[in-house]
Amino acid sequence: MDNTTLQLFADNYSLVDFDKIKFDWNGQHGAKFQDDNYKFRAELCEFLIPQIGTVKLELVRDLYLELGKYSKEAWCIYNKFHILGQQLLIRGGTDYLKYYIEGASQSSDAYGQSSQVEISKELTEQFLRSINSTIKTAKDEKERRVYEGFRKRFEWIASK
Amino acid sequence: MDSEQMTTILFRPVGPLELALIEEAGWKKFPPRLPEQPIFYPVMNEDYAIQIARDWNVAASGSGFVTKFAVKSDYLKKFEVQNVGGQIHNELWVPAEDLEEFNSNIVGTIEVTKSFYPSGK
Repeated sequence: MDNTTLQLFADNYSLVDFDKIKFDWNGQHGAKFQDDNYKFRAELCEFLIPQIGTVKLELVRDLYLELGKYSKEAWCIYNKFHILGQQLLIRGGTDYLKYYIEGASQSSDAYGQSSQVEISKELTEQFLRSINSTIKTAKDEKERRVYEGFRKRFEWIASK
Repeated sequence: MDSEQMTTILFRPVGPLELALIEEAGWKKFPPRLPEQPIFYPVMNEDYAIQIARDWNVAASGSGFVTKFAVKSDYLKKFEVQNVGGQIHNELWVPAEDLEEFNSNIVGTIEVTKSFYPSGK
């Protein structure tokens, strides 16, 4: 697909375009695994990464979350997954922290790759405060455990 | 020992479906991934693999398993080691397109060293 088409898609992205980037899985694994939107999504990500700071945050979020779902069933992860996650954290702040955690929690591969974010100390402290608050009000044990895991993640980032 | 004979022990936490395909392949290789950008992550410490299998795979897939395997050390030098969170959290970045070659450098079979199920089962 040519760059003009990709740019137009990104500039005009809205909910009606979601079907083109969603994880469109055939329900199989290993050699039989197929995701009909994989090629377009990968092409779009490669095109957008150099200008990621200006891409609509809704599109970054949707790509990140769908790549996370892909990783759960494909048993591997896009090597620039963390760059999308980093944008969610930097531009979306605590409002988008939940999306970062949701995508990163999809698989062990997503968890590992998402750790490569680079964020400021100040932002990291904000996320730690937000995570501690969510832990106190977690709706169930599962949510509490997930957020406790990410508290360790952000404590590690803060210590770097 | 000749450097060609030296191996490095690696671990990969997996869910039941990935484990079934490893078994189907005679415990000799990991199932293929789509090529291009995706990364396949073996980890370098069993305690870290246990954490993932117990805390992630059980929650996501209903059970989790730690696989252990040996790979020719010389071959592994080409891959980057990435620390993802703490002293034991080292992973090896293996591009999915190299997985077939990676599989061919596994010495012996892939073993399951730990199995985890939801508590009470």
